[in-house]
Amino acid sequence: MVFSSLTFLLLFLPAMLAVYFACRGVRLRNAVLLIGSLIFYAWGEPVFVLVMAFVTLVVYAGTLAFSAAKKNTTKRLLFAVTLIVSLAALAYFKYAAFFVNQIAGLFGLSYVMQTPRLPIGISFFTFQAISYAVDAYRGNVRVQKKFSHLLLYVSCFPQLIAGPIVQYADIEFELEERQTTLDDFTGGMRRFAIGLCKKVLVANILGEMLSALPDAGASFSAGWMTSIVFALQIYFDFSAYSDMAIGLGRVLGFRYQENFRYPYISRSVSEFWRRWHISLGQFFREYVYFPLGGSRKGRHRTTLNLLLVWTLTGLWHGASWNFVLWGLYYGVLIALEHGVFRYVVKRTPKPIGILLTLIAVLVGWALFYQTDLAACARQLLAMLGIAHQNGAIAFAGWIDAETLHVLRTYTVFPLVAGVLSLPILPALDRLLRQRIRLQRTAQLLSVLLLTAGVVLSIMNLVSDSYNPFLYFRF
Amino acid sequence: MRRKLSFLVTLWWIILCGAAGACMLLFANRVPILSEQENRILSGMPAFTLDAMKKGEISESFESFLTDQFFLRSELVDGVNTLKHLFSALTVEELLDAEGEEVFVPVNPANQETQQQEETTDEGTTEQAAQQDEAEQQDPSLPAAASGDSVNVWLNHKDGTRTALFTYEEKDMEKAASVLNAYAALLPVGGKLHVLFAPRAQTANKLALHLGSESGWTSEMESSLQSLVSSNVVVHNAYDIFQDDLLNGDYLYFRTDHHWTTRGAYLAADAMLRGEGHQTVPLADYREKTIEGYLGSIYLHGRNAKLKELADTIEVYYPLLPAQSFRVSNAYKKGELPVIDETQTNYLVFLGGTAGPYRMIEGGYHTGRNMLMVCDSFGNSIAPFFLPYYDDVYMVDFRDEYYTREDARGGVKDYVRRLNIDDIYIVLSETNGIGSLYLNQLMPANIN
Repeated sequence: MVFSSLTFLLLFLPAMLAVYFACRGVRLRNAVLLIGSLIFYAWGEPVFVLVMAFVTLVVYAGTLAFSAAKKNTTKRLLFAVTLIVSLAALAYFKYAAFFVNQIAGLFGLSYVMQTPRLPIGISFFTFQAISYAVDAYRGNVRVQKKFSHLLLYVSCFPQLIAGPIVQYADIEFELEERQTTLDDFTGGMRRFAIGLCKKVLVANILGEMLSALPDAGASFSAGWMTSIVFALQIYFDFSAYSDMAIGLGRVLGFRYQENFRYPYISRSVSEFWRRWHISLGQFFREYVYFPLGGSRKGRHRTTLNLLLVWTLTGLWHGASWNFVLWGLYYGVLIALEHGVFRYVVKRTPKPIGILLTLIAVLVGWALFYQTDLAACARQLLAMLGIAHQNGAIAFAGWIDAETLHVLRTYTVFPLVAGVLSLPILPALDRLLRQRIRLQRTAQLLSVLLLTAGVVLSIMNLVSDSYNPFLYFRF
Repeated sequence: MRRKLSFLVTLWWIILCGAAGACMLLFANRVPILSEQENRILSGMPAFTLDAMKKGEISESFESFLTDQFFLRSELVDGVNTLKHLFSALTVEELLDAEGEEVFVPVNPANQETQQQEETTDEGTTEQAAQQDEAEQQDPSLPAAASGDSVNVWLNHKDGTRTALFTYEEKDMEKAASVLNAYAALLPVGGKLHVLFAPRAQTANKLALHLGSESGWTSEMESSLQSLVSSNVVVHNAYDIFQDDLLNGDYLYFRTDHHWTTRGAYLAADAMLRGEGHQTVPLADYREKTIEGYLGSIYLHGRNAKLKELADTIEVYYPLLPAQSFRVSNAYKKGELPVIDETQTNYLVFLGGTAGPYRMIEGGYHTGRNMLMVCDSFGNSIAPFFLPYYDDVYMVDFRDEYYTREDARGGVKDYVRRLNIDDIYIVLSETNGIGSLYLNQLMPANIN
């Protein structure tokens, strides 16, 4: 089930909240939440509940086993086995086909492994489970004796499908003791409504615009517009899910960390990644980069560590070469920022820093968006104004008719989305709240606006189902 | 106080969401129904079987049920589309062009053939393919190919230049000729096969709505096709028939729908009947009614509120004598169908829409001749104009939605013989014309 569906909005959420708040005591609420979360997951992919339960069970049994081990070597061995087995599902479902096919291709074999159906959210729940195992191994968290608590941590529906990757330490105590205040409920639902509006009213429409754009290699404008619209779409889509997760978590008494902090105002690529998908960056930093030695083992090793971490980050997003390239691209940029350009980055004026970072990020989105490497090359060349046709190189043209048509169709919409991706609304909200006389108006206005937003979102979800099949009509 | 108010408002919309969900479960229509606007079956409540749940199909079908059967859905779609298009800088004409291009874009004939072949292979049925081969073999007198590799339909600009609207390849022309000849061969001595490929509104309006920049159009296709077909086949040039009237600003095509208006249909019928040697009844002699505010397929594609400015008027002309229409199966009359469907306010007013496998209209005339029209929906508005010249007007639309071989229980050859058909008229839109699945596959497959 996804948040932006009528099934969730009209049935699951109201029913879940009604039952949850009708129960007194954390134990009962945990039970309701666990059952609800399993239904939430099983609704789309019932069989894959077993995969999630398997990963949780492996981590649960593994942590119990290595925490009980007397010898360090046994403990280490059991820990390694736990990690390997818990990663097995992710490796099989997400990466096996990619690597097997690459190897088969390398040796000229005709064997092609079919990609299995991917359990939704597998990257998120596997990483959550692993973070718990590592923290338990390091002694940062207490070993959870109750399987149901661990399963609830992994499967808790607000963050199950699209994160953020919640570390066990962050909710360890909330699993035992939590409460929802009036402000938590209102604030949480407000945050959920913001996320819903971002997803349905902004990201989905940007998605429509993106699909209406011509081949990104069609002209200079087509190349840049594809990257810009995709940058906005992926930001509004992904951050919307995080908003909804954080909001619902708060309603249920959990405090999840922020996952996005207006990444498009970053002054450097490193800063961009401190603002974009924060929980993923944190995971790789704590569980991969630091254990590899981080930046403490000399410049060359640091560079190597960065490249390795960013290749893995790229692969985490998908088993495809373009994601590997995308990860490496950021690895190189961040290595440069930490090395050769260290002082340049610090001394670059803010607006220029933001502009350069934006350009770098937009180039990165071209690598991310185009899963076909030839299409990716076409787009990157078009962004430089170059068209490569029949072996000859020519000017791609400033703008093509199709891109112009799309721009005239959506006019200011990408601009509005661009403005909304900047921290302007929170600043306005703060300003209004600072003025006592305007406080009440601001609060009421925001609640009313969000109510209208929810209504519009539902209308849009209904409207999206309008799918005329006109060819055979008469 | 403020906090409480915010809480109450928030709580209220969750309750409303829950109430809407409960109402959907309790009161929404649970049975799949046909949406005339979308021409598809709107999902009903899915069956909660263990198998469907295991496959994960329930989630999708249940979501479809909620969105398809949502209360006031049509109004909500209109409202959202109005908001969505609020920012659009496109002019109404540009929108019309854009939406028009999205509706009925002809599929690449090569792909269609491949698709059809795959379907045939999948089903393990070689009947259609065999019939097609037979149809091709029935054409021993196929003349030489038209000169050149392709022929064009040109849109002529006032600045002296021209743009190709359509290009037809030689092999497609030859294929069309072989199919037409096979149909012509079914007719008794003296019988004629009339062919007219009608432009869609999207094409016609490139001329009709741009009289400032366009001076006319020229089609090489019909003369080229005429040179390839038997002597009892007459290929009518719809572009020539319509050109003068379009340039005069006559209302021959809808703007928000892809069909011709009844005026356009009358002009086409008039040209074909005159070719057959008939003195035709003037349009003014027919009793008329109009339906205002018609928004057709081009509007329905995107439901862009701006297109409402171009809402069309449907002119309906009643048959001169009381007429009756019937569904025909196995060459026998079955249930009665409307000739003018008074309950409809859209293109379905003509004959109440398409019905299959065959249908007939009895116009009350005794001329001793019968005709068969092989058509698509363009035939629905033109058919009544043939009534004064034939005893019975038979129609068939071979598209899968309306025609099954099991229902027809015989091919065209059989029907021509049993129904004493004298002339055949092929009236198809350009989408179902040269190189199309309809002409290349469906027509030959249903001869025998």
